[in-house]
Amino acid sequence: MSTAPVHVDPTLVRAFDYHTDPEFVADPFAGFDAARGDRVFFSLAHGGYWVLTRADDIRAAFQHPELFSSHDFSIPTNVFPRTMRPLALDPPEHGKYRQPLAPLFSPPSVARREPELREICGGLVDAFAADGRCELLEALARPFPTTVFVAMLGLPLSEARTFEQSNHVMLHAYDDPPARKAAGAQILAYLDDLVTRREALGPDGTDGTDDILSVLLRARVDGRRLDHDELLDYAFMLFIAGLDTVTAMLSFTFQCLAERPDLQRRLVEEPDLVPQAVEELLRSHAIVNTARVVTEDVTFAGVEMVAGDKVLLATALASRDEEEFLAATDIVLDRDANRHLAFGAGPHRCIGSHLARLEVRIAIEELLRRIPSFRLAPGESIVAHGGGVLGIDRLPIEWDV
Amino acid sequence: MRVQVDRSRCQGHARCWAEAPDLYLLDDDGYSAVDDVEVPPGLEDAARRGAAACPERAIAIVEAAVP
Repeated sequence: MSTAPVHVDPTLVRAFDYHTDPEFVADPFAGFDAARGDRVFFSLAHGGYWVLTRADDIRAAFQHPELFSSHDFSIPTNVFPRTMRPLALDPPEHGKYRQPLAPLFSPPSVARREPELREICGGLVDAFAADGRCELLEALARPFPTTVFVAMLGLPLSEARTFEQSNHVMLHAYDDPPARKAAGAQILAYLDDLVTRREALGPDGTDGTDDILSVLLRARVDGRRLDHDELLDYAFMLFIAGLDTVTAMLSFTFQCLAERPDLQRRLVEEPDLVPQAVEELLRSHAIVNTARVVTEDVTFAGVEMVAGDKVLLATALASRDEEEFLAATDIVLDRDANRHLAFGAGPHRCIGSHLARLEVRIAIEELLRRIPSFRLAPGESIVAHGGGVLGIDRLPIEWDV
Repeated sequence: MRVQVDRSRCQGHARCWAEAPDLYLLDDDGYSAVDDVEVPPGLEDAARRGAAACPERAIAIVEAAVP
């Protein structure tokens, strides 16, 4: 888009691009802080979109799906090979498809998986703890959530490697579109085969077990069982939503700790503080930039929006708003009343949020238990990426053995 | 002191439950199972922390009237 739509006040147009602007991408959270000022502005990048900058407005948009629809929830419009069910649905349809997943991801269900997750994470850290250095994404931040996903699907953990490589290529090989497409097709074919094999076990899957597909095979939507296509939609959606996000969160967590020996020391000395610290790291490093489509002409955040307008809901803008949080750009490990929006709000609140926070907590605990002090490897540069899920490409760290 | 949870606004963040699991009970899907409860003695601070941690702002604290 080279000029703003006629209904957009030209004084509200800003040069802003959270996808590829090198200055933004070098430090995305500082980039969002710098974009704050006006309550709302308009970017011409990627087809044009409004940017809400206040926690109150972003929360309200999340909470009002009748005005802000999820049927197109990314900037630019994403073309996934499957229906992103229930992410791309609005109420009341959304709730019908979300409900079967809810018991699987409730806090008590997630808590029951803690011993298994701790064993997976501990094994990964054991493999490099004596080395004195590692590239943290390759060693931990990618394999940990991938292995957890594979375990939740009831697959042998050795399958994790296949998923990890395909996922990385599909989401990040921007310079090689054919490879991205092939990786997506490979994942889909794998999941398709998996769903077919589970369906062949009968209507109750692997009876009684609580892996994701078995639970979905027993579920009912509108009084009927889910069909093959719907099961495949769920599997693909969970794959897209649950792996790269946790990888990114772990990357920023350990980058932050590597740069702040004071924070590492405090967490080693006060391990009970870790759950609160996880919330603060989520708040200060909120990685998800989702979007909504305006459903009708409306005055919102003081501007005229028209049906069809795209609106960016950047969870970092909501979670680093000084009007909502004291010292919002500081990291306060024991912050109280930390009602950040790292997992969004409203009916689409990240269903994996309790699993994600458990994975981050376990990763901090298991790494610090074996490596109580670490730092960024000298001479290496950290490369971050922008877009719908902010992240880091490489994180080389080192420690004394 | 009472807590009032607007269950129509609850989206299952469970931050109230993380602060005070014996007060803010959850249903099987992880959403609030309570809407209006008396806070037992000793849980007042945890109740306030739970309300303040709600990302949806769905929880109100109703202080007892001073006799």
